Amino acid sequence: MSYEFNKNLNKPEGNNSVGNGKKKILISYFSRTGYTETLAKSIGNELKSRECSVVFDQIRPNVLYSWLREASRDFPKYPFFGLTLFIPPLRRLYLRHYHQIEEDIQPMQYSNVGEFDRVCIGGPKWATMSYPVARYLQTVRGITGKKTGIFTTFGGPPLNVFEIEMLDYPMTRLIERIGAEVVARSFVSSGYHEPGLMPVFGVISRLRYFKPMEYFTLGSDYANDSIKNFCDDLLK
Amino acid sequence: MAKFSDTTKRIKKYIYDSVIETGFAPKINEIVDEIKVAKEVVLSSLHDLEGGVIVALQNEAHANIKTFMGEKLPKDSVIPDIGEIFYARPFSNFMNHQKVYVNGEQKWYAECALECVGLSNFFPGKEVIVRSVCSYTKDPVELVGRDGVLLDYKPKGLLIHVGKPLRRWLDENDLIAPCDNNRFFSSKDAYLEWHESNKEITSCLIQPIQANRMIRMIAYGRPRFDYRLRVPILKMIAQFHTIGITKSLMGIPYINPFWLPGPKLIRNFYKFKYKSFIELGLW
Repeated sequence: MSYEFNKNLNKPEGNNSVGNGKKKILISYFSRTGYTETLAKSIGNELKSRECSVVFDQIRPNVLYSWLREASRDFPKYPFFGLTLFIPPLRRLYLRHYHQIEEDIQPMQYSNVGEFDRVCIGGPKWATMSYPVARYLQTVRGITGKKTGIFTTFGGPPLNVFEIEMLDYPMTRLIERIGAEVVARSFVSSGYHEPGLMPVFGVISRLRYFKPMEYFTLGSDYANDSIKNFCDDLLK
Repeated sequence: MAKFSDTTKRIKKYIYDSVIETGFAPKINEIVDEIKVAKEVVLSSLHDLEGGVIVALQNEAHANIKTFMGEKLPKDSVIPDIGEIFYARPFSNFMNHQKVYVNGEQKWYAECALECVGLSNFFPGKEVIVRSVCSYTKDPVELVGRDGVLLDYKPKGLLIHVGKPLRRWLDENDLIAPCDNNRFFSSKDAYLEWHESNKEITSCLIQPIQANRMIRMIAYGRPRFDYRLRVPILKMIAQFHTIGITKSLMGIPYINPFWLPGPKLIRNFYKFKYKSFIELGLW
């Protein structure tokens, strides 16, 4: 799937929170294939419908490589990664201490997020955190003390361990170490997997949830509920 | 190897955020207010950051200095009080002759000649120019960088003088001193003439592009939350000629002992109660 970055996304809509009580919200996201961008836009639309002022900022890596090249940087960890899925204490240990690969990113439009009331950060799940999102979290300024929301897309159904915990735990932990607080989460399936594991995920979805993959993908009731809950939690 | 605590990392981040926003590092009391921890915790964290070659704290030897690396300080330069941050490397916490311009705007000051070459890493996507002077001829010196990479420099014969061997960095409990004699020289001739009257200063000359490679290798990514100085030993050995840490004997290059740590450095490191926050890696 290809997409063009919509420059209009960066235009703030509505007034900022100063003076009129509206919450000013930044949505920073990295999207490689466009699915996370769709989720970011959906969250943005929901927030706008709740009288928030929303600004988008796209995290763009300096160089976008092929998925094979990106994944190969993590390949040596995969056997151990697989093992941790079945042993919870080992998984926690792994998620606390694994080496998170990062990717150089282009300058952000809002490298200092201090002016925003809430910050939403999203990206795809690449085994754990995607590399550009990891670098963004390492370098973003002004986030200390902020309430944040995290959202992500992944190929398979929302498996608690493989899809959700493997991303939620390290991302939340890093955000909290920086001094911010995660108050909202949205995890939605994109129904797309670049290396082509979708048939496998389809079978897993049927076996585990007795539902087709479409039940969990963007645009579904499941995804819409997830977005609504995300916005509820974010604005509490 | 010790690791920085999350509080120390938050303090480090606040210091760098403040430097990027205002040009100067915060005072200790400001850090206490911002991070909301006891002053003792901040002091302990700053000591750790000093041991990790991230900040340098003002000491008695540098209190009330009137010159900096041989150059007169501007009249309105305010020298930090004892115990406050002197350097938030690679930035200096007071006005000096090494001005940093980011997309034409100037509010930052660089620490030493060696650190100047990789400073653009702090301002992603922006053109960063460091303007200084030759220590002997007083000719203007200019370094242009972007994203940590040194793009250009003037004059073309520019050399960086490093004035203290690594093994003597901690002869006194003073982590400012190793940078005191890191200077620019517009040419080798200028350096030789300066050296005539400064023979007591141990010297090592390095080209700006070599210095840039060295800084990128060991100190890249300082604004990152989890940053700590990393020495990739095999990589340094494999590329030792390109990072300027070699000498040669009858055409055979070898690592200049100037850049090697000695037992005294390691002993003093522990004597002055620094922990080992420097990460040794292979590549």
